[in-house]
Amino acid sequence: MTTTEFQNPQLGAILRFAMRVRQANMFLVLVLALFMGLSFGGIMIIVTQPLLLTSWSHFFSHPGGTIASSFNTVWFAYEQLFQGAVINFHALRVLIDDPSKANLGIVLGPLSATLTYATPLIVAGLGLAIGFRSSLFNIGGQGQVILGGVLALLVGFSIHLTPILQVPLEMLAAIAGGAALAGFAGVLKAYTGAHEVIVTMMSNYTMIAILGYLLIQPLFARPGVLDGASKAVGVSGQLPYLFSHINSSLLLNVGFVIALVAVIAVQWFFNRSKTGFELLMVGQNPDAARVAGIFSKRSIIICLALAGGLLGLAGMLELTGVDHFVTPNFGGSYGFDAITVALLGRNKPWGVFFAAIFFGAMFSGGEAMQAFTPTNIQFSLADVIQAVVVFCVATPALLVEIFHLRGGARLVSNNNTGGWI
Amino acid sequence: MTTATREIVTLDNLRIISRTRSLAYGITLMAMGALEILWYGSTDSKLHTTIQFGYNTATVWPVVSSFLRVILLLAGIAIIAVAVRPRSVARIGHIFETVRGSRTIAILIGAYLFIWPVFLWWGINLHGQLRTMTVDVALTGYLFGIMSIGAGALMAWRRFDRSASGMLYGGLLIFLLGFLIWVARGSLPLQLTSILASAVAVSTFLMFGSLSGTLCERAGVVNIAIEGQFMAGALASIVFASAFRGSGISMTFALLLAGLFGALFGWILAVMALRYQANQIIVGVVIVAFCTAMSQFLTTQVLNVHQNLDGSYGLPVWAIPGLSHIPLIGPVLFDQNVLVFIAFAAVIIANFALFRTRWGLRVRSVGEKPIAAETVGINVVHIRYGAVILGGFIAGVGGAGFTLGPGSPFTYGMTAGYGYIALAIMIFGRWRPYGALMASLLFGFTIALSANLNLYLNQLVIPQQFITALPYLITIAVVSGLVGRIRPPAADGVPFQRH
Repeated sequence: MTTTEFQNPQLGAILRFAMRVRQANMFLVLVLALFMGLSFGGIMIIVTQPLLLTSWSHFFSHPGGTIASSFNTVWFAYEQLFQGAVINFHALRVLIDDPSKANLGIVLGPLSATLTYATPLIVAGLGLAIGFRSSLFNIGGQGQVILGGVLALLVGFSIHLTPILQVPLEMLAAIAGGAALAGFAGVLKAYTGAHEVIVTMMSNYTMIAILGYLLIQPLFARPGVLDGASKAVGVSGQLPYLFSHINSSLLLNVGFVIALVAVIAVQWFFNRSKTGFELLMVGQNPDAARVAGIFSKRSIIICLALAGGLLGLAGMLELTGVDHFVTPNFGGSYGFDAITVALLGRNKPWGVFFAAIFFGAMFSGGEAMQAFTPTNIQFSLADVIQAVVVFCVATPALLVEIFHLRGGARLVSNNNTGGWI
Repeated sequence: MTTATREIVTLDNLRIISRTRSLAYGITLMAMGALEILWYGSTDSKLHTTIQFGYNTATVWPVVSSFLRVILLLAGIAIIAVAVRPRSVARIGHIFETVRGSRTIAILIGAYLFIWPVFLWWGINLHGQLRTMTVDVALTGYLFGIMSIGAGALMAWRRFDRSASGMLYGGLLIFLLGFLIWVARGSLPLQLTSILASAVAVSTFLMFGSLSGTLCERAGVVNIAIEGQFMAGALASIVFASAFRGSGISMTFALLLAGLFGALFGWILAVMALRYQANQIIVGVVIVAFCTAMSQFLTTQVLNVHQNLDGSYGLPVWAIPGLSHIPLIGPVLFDQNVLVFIAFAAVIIANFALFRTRWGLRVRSVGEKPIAAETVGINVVHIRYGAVILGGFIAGVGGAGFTLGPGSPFTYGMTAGYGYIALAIMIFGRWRPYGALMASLLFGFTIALSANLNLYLNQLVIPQQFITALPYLITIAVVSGLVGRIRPPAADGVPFQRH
């Protein structure tokens, strides 16, 4: 279709607007991806509810009732999801009606929980985004989170200083641990050609085994308790809460500020620093980078070490911000969640920030959905929605095809995976 | 890719290892031998280990009279002699020189025939019930150590090009066997057959997974979604089998359905990778994320409520008559569930298909140099579609091995990252079906080992977790090129654009 058809005066403004809307851009892709995710989740709800399925057997006698009951169920679930993730409307109305009975904890609690859960994910997602932008696939997020967390824990319970000294010390230990583990994979990649996907993946399992070993050692194990949990970080090593003076159920901690700083730092790193530029170049075209005099081995190692450092920091934030101790499945899903967060955020620092908050929202909303829907629609539905959204965002070609978006070729990333070795 | 030294690899120099490498292999072997002598050999000389060879009462060992033993022994020696010096025997000798691999097989069979009469003379065959054998721990340590050191010295002295890595793995296996004997010293008997049988059972899905990876990557598509295909296959097969209460025909269809679900996700990967040329690793990771979320949701939402859909129905166990009575190998290889046999068959068929048929040649050419393949009129995209969907099918059938194999219900997270380990096994096995088979068995052995070590926890000096981590550390060593040269298909993971 050429532009002259757009200028046809007989085409109404609405139609022209519709044409405009179908121009593919990232915002539209995000909206459509969310739509796809929610639709798929809705279908899943309907398919797995026995009552709804029986109502569908009467579809031809009462089509309206069938559709209405299905829609109501799905709508109610998503309402709970939203209220559990962002803001509780009923509590808000109580607050507006009668400010004296105000309970800010209930109104803002969901938002606080969302951000608290998102905090380590932001940092971990940033770490993976650094790798992805230089075409390095660091699958070993979990191992680096574990090592960072364990080292932070070691500093956390063995030293007792003021928080202003101890928290940075923990951060340093965690960053050093994560950077060392990922940097090792980088060294292997640079000097022997071992593919980082396999090496980091194997380092995950190795770290899980080592964690299992450490947690039964007297140095780490909590005395007298046999549930596999470690000693807790001392009070001075815990991240202070930001808003707990307003209400004790607002558990957002300083980690969120650290994560914000990390976002800005990574943004600066890629846009303004020389090393960041080199990493981008190596990622987009290694041959051109080599011709331009960039030492690609060094940049591979730096890139993976930076990514690992951020993942170690994520482990520290998780440890000192939320539970204050380590369990055998510490860092369980962070490695893979962080990959999907980075993909959803299209590897851009602020994109990762909002993607992580989306994940946090789905997490805390999912719990609310499971608790408050009458048939206990399971928490993991949120994961399903999330996965579909990430699928659509990571491979925009699918949406471009389904919705016949115009000019979609721009969005379809065509970066080479490269071989294994 | 970005390796600094890129050398031309041909079929000839792929087999040849460099002087320094053979030296390093030899030193590694000698170090292992020294460790065996120092570690196992230093055990108290009064300690013995009882090795149990039978674990299954159904397996009755044939009574071999003394006369037959001599025949077996002589036959073994004869076969080995012919295989070692083929030229000395006029009419049979040329077979070993023309048919590839026949020599190795002949040596193995001959050694087997030779070993068993010797073992029988040792008196472990009591009234036809071959059960246990008691060995001296320290002596075994010395024996293994001297063997390893000798092999290492030989390798450092004379470069064994073709059998270098084989000798290294053999040394590793002997080290592990020595470790087993050392661990079980004194108290409980070592259930060797049972450990080996569970190793083969564990390696079933690893075989399927690595075969799937091999097939896809030979065609130039990285299939990192094996984990997701495992989950889909495991879930689909057990739900289908449970819905029909595990009747015989439903098990067959459950296997097929598992394969079809795997193929579905293979197809999605193929569409994304081939039609839209998306990044294959990203698509694979997202498919795994989707399958993880779906399996968790369906488990918690449906299977936990309708538990009749998640029963324990196992595939039938076939004890092949005759073969299952062979000492040690019989119960390990020929007394297993059907899926194990399917896995072995799949490996053999895949090897034949990849290296002996026209289709296989096309698959390999598409994975090595797609432009050249297109020039001679091969439809690159079609071949890749076929390979990836078939690979997904195989991985899906392997997924059924988690549920239908041992006959256990589906639980969330039961695939436990084996899909990724299968990828590592594929690299370990050098993108070859037989290599994948061997590497799967090695990994299966270490996995079964760490699972069976609970029995001997009080004897264990090194923590059990380190044994769990052993296969992963070996994998890191392998992919970083410490053990042999690794060369992936040249166009692996590179999107193809039609010209």
